[in-house]
Amino acid sequence: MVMSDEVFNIESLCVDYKEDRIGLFNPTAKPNYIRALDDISLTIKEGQIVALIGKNGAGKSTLLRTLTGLVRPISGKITSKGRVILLAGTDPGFNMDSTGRMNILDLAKAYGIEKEDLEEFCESIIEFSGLGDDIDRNVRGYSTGMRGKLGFGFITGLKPDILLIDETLGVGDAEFRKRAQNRLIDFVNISKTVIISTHSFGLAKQLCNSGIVLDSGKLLFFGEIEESMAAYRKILKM
Amino acid sequence: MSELIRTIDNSGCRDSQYFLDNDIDLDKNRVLFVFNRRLRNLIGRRKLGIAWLILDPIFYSLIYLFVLTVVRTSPDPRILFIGVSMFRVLSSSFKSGTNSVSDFSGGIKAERVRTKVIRNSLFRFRVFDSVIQGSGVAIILFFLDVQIIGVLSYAVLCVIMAIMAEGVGLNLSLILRRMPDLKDVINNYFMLLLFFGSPAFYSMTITTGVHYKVNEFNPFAYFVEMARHYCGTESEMMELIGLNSAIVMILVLFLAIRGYLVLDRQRWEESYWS
Repeated sequence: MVMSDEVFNIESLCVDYKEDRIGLFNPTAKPNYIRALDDISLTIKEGQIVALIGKNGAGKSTLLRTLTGLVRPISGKITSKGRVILLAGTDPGFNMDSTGRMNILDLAKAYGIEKEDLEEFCESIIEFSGLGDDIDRNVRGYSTGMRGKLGFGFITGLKPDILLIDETLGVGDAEFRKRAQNRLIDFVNISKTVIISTHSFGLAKQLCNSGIVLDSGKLLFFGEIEESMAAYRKILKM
Repeated sequence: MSELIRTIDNSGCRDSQYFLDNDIDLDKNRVLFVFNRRLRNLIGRRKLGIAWLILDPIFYSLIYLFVLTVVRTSPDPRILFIGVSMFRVLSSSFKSGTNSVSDFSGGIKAERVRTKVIRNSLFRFRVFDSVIQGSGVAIILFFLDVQIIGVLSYAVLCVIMAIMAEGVGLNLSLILRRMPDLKDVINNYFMLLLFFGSPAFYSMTITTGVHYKVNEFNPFAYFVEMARHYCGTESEMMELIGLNSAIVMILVLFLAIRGYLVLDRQRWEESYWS
């Protein structure tokens, strides 16, 4: 059960990926189970801004996707309180053959923006993304950076209770990254909860007040950000 | 902070309640979004857009009409238009069901979408698609002196058959994702065999022996012969009614309902396959 200020309560969470091995010469082969998360238990409270750190393949993306309800755990339980949004990659669901503006309007309705707030919401995304006149071009013609700006602006504009970010703060130019960080700080200031998967120590230190360190699917450390980074440095030296 | 409590475990992902006051509207908007996305995917970047959906079964029927006329079998165009167009509807609906597992997010990638939204949009899209696909041929049938009741029956049967075909296809979606070879076998070879073996461009009245017997267990034969019966063309419908037809249709109905009901379980199962 989630206590009043807890947004995530994770109990003994294990996630396996199932890999099929059936082939012409192996028609009865049993599937392989690859453990991605192994017995994770932790509690995240409202207002916490958490850096999720670990080497490639440590299970960061799997944890975020499982918390969003997109991946089935093999055992354990997650209880969350509030609306969870995951920003992974640069695409919240763009239609490539529509303009940026049309995409914002269509997606906004699908993400629960009220009709009367649509125009204001749309303008705020356009302003934040800095796309200018390009907003009326088809998204197919956007660069990865432009799509990233639009996607990040859109998702953070939704103001969810819990925002999960999977290594997408690297999109765009230096100026945009600064704006993205400021947007996140604003987000935290209105007592929302954020979990950011990142490899950047600078970003983790600047934005986060706590850290989760994963190694080969296991929870190595969960606590203050400085201590988390120290724990991660130890793995890197190993 | 919304009061939504979500529980995720091995058995499923359950929400305690809606997370916004206007969640019913949100789900409606999402159904519409997923519906539009499916339509866009189907049309692609074709300039004629939705008109292709109407023209496709007509073109196919005309090609078969031409080929059969050349080989001097003098087919009744009504029989051919009904059969070929209904098979196109069956084929696209069944394939849609078997492919459903490829996109359970409905295009809303940043948040988990309720399965009922996906199910609802699938269902609505199937109705829309079958109406559109059948509409062109329905108009042609009208000009081929088919009574209005026959034209309407054809359209209604197209819709019912499409929903059932998609439902049956949904049952197979996980297996076919695991075994893409089987998907090719079913979607290509089996469907081709079904097309030529079924009474698509001929009436079942001309079939005999084993061919007739096999078609007694072919659900498509019942739909197409019923449509032909109501359209006043040659049809075997009245002879087909019996215990076999009841068993076949009950089985298909059961599989179709099951297909739509197990969507959530399939979605959860598929989520951890690498």
